[in-house]
Amino acid sequence: MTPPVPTPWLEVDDLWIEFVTRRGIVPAVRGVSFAIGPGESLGLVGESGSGKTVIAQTIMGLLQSPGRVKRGAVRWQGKPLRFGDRFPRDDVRGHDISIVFQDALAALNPLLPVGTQITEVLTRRFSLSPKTAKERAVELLALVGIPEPRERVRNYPHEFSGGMRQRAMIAIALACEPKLLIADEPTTALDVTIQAQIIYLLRDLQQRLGLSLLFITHDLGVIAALCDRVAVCYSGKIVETGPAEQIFARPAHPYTQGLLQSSAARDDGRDRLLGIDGTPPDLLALPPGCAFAPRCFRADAACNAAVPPLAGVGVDHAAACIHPLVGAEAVR
Amino acid sequence: MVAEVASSAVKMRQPAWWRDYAAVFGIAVVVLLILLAVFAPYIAPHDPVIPSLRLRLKPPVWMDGGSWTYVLGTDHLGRDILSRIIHGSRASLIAGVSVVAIAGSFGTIVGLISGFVGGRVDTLMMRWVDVHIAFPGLLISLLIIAVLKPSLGTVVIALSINGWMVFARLVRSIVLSARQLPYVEAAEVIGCKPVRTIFRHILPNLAAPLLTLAVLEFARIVLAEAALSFLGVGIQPPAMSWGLDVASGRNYLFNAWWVVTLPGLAITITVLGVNFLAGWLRVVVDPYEGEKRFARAVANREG
Amino acid sequence: MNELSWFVVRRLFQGLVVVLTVTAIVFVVTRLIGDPVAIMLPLDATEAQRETLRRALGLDQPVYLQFIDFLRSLFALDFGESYWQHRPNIDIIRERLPATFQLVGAGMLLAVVLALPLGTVAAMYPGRLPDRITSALSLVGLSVPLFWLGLILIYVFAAQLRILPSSGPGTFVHLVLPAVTLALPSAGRLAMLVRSSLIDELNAPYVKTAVAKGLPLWRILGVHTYVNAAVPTLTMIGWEVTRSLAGHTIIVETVFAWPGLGLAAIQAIQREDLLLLQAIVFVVALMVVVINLALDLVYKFIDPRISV
Repeated sequence: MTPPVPTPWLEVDDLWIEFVTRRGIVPAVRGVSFAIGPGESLGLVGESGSGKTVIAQTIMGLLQSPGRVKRGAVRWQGKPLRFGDRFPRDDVRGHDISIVFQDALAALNPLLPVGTQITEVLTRRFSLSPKTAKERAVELLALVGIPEPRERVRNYPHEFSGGMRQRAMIAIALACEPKLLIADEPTTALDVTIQAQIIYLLRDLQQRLGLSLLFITHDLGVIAALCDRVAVCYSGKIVETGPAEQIFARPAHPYTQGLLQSSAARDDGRDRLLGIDGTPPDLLALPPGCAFAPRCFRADAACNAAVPPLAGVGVDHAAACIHPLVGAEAVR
Repeated sequence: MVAEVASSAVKMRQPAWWRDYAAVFGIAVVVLLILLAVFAPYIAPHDPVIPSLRLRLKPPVWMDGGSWTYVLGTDHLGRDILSRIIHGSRASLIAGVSVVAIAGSFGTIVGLISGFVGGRVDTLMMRWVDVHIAFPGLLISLLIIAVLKPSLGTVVIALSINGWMVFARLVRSIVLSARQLPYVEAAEVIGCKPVRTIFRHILPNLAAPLLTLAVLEFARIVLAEAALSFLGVGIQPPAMSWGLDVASGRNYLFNAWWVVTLPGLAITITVLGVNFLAGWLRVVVDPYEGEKRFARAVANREG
Repeated sequence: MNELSWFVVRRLFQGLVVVLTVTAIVFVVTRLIGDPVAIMLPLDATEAQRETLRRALGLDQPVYLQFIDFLRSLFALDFGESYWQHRPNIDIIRERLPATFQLVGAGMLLAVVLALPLGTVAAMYPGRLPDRITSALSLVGLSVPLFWLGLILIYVFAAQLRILPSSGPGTFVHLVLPAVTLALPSAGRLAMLVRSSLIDELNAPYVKTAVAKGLPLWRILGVHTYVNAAVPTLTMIGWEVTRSLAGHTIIVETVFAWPGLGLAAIQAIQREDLLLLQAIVFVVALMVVVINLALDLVYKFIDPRISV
C-alpha cells in the first residue's frame, strides 16, 4: 500500500453543508475533513442521511438548492474549487475528477445512445475526431468488460442490463481519463453477484490505471475489498478514520464497531442487525454532545456534555469518542 | 444566488406576492361578474336594447365629446356600452355555469363508471374519449349549431358535447389512483359496497381537483361562447353577449375603437380573473403545491 | 413484417377509427338530430320540392343504408354539390385549402420560433425578464379572445400606424396580421410548456451526470434536455396545429376575411349549406388524423422506448 504523499490530490477541509427546509436549517455535513493522495483509495462509510452523498456531490460541484456550503473548502492539488454555480465549469470536474452514480438508469440520458454519451466527453476533452472518438468509446466499453462493445455503443441505456449499465456508467466516468474517481454507492442498486463483479472491476481499474478512488457506501464489507483508508460518517461528522486494516481489526468508535458487527451478521446469514439500537438522530435536534451518545452502550454524562473532537487512537488512526474502545474491547 | 437556484428547482410561475394579488383580483372579478349578472336591470344606467340614432358612437367620458351620462360611450345604434356590458355578463355566466354543470356531471359519471367497472367498459369509454378529444371542437360545434339553429341553448348543448371528456379523464385517473390507496383497498377487501367506498373515500379526493378543473373550464367556456357569438352562430340579437357586441362594432373599428375594445376587455378581464382564481385554487387545495410555495418563500427570504 | 410497419398499421387503424367516429357524429347530427331538408330549403318550398330533395339525399332509405351510403360517398371524396355555389364541394375545398395552409403554416412557424427561445431562457433564469414575458404571453394565450386580439391588432397596425393592411388576401404583408394573431396565444402556451418541461429535465439525474462530465451549457441544454423535452413539446405543437385547423382558423379567417377553409365553414353556415360544412368537417378530420400519425412516427424516432 502506498503511504499518503505530502501533497494530497483532493483535500476536503472543514466542510460544512446545510439545507434550508420548512422545518428549519438541516446541518447535513458538519466540519468534515479528509484528503486523498495519488493512487490512494478512501472509503466513506455511513448510514443513509449521514451526509456522505452530499459530500460527493459538493466535490463535483453538483450541490443544489436548498443545499449550500456554509463553510470550508474543497481543494484539488492545492487549488480551491468553486461551488454554488448551477452549471459549474472548471478544468477539474470532468477532467481530473469524475463520478459514478448509484442509479445508472436514471443517471444516463435515456434518449441518447451509450456511445454518444461517451464520445461527447472525448470530443470535448481531447478534441478527438468523431471517428477516433467512436473507436475510443469501443475501447472504453471493452475496458469495463462489456461484451461485443462494437455493437453496444449504438444501444440505448434501457437496452442494457443493470450490471452492464453500471459498467457503461463507469466507462463514461473514465472517458475523461480522471485522476480521481468518486463512486457513490455504485453497487447498491444491483444484485449481490453483480455487486461483486463491479467491485472487482473497480479494484482492477484502480490498479491498472493508477486511479485515486473515493468510494462511498453504507456497507463496510465492500470497503474491505477495495479501500486503503476508511472514514466513518455519522450525522454529518467523521467519527473515525484510519487505515482499513486497523479499523477492521480494532475499531475505536463504538459506532464503527456496531457497523462491523451488523455487517458481519449479514455475512453470516443472520438477517437482523446486531450492534446498533435506535435510529440516527434528527439533524434538526442534535444532542449537545456526541451525536451517537443516545444509541451508545458506553455513553455517560461526559459524552452528552460536549462534542468530542477527532483524537488519535493509534498510528494514523483517529476517533471522535471520549471513551474509545481499546485492547480486547475493540475486537469485534 | 440561492434564491435563483431554489426558484428554478421548484417550478415557479410567479413570485408569491404576485400570486396573492392575482387571487384577490380573481375573486373580485368573479364576485363582480355574479353581482352584475344577477342585478343587471338594477345596476345598468340605461336601457341596453333601445336604439337612439341621435346618440350614435358617443366616445367614453375621458375623451373629447364624452359625457358622464354614457361613461363608456355608445355603440353604432346609440346604445349605452356600459349597460350592454352589464347585461352581457348574463350570457357568459349562464353559458359557463350550465356547460360546466352539464359537461361536468356527465364527464364525472363516465369517469366514475370507467374507473370502477374497469375492463372492457373502461377501455371502450376511454377510446371514445381519446377519439373525441383528438378532434378539437369548434368545427363540430358549428355543425351542431347549424342543425339546431343558433341560440343560447344551442351554444350550451354544443359546448357541453365537446366539454365532458376532460372531466371523465380526470375523474377516472383519480378513482384509479385512489383505489390503490391502502385504506380504500382495505375498505374494498372487507366488503364495503362500492357506493359506500365512493362516498366515504373517493369523493373527498375528487372534490378539490374537480373544483379547480371546473373553474378552468368555466374560463374556457366564457371564451368559447364569446367566439361563437362573435361568429354569429351563438347568441342572437336582441339577446346580449360580449362577443356579439364586438362583432357589431367591427365595422366601426377605425373611427370608434371603444365599441369593439370595451366588450372585448370585459371578456379578457373575466377570463383572466377566473384563470387567476383557478391558479390560486390549485395551490390552496394541493398540499404539494403548498410545500413548493413555502420553499420558494424561504429561498427568497434567505437570498 | 417488422416492428415499425406494425406500428404504422396499428396507428393507421386507430386513425381510421377517429375518422369513422367523426363521420358517425356528423351523420347523427345532420341526419338524425336535424332535418337537412328543412334546413336547406326555403320555408315556402312546396312538398314536392321537399320530396325531391329528400330522395336526392337518400333520406327515404332506412337509416343504416343511409349511413353506409354516406360513408361510401365520403371515402370516394364525393361530398356532393354546394347549395351556395352550385358546384362540387370538393372543388370549393380544394380552392380554399392553400390559404388555410399558408395561414396555419406561417402562424405555427412563428409560434414555435417565438416559443422555443423564450421558453428556454425562461427555464434557465426563472423570475427574470424573459420568464416574465413568457408568463405574460401565456396569460394572453389563456385569456384573450382570439377575435378580439385580431381586431386590436388591426386597430393598432392598420388604423393607427397604417403600416399593414387590415384584411383580405393578397401579398405576403396581408398574411402578417392573421399569422401573428394565430401565433401569439399559441406561442404563449407553447413557451410555458417548453419552460416547464425544460425545468423538469434540468432537475433530472442525467443532467447531473452531464454537468459532472464537464459538458458546456449549450450541449447540456441543446442536446441532453432538448431530446427529452422533445416529445411533450411536439405533442403540444401538434395539438396547437390541430386546434388551429379545426377552430382558430375559423375565427382568424373571419376577422381578416382570409379566404380559407374556416371562412368557408362560416359562409356555409350563413348560407345554410349543410353539405359543404359537412365536407369541411370531414376533410379537417382527415388532416387531424394524418398529423397525429406523423407525430406518432416522429415520437418513435426520438424515443426508442416507445412501443405501439
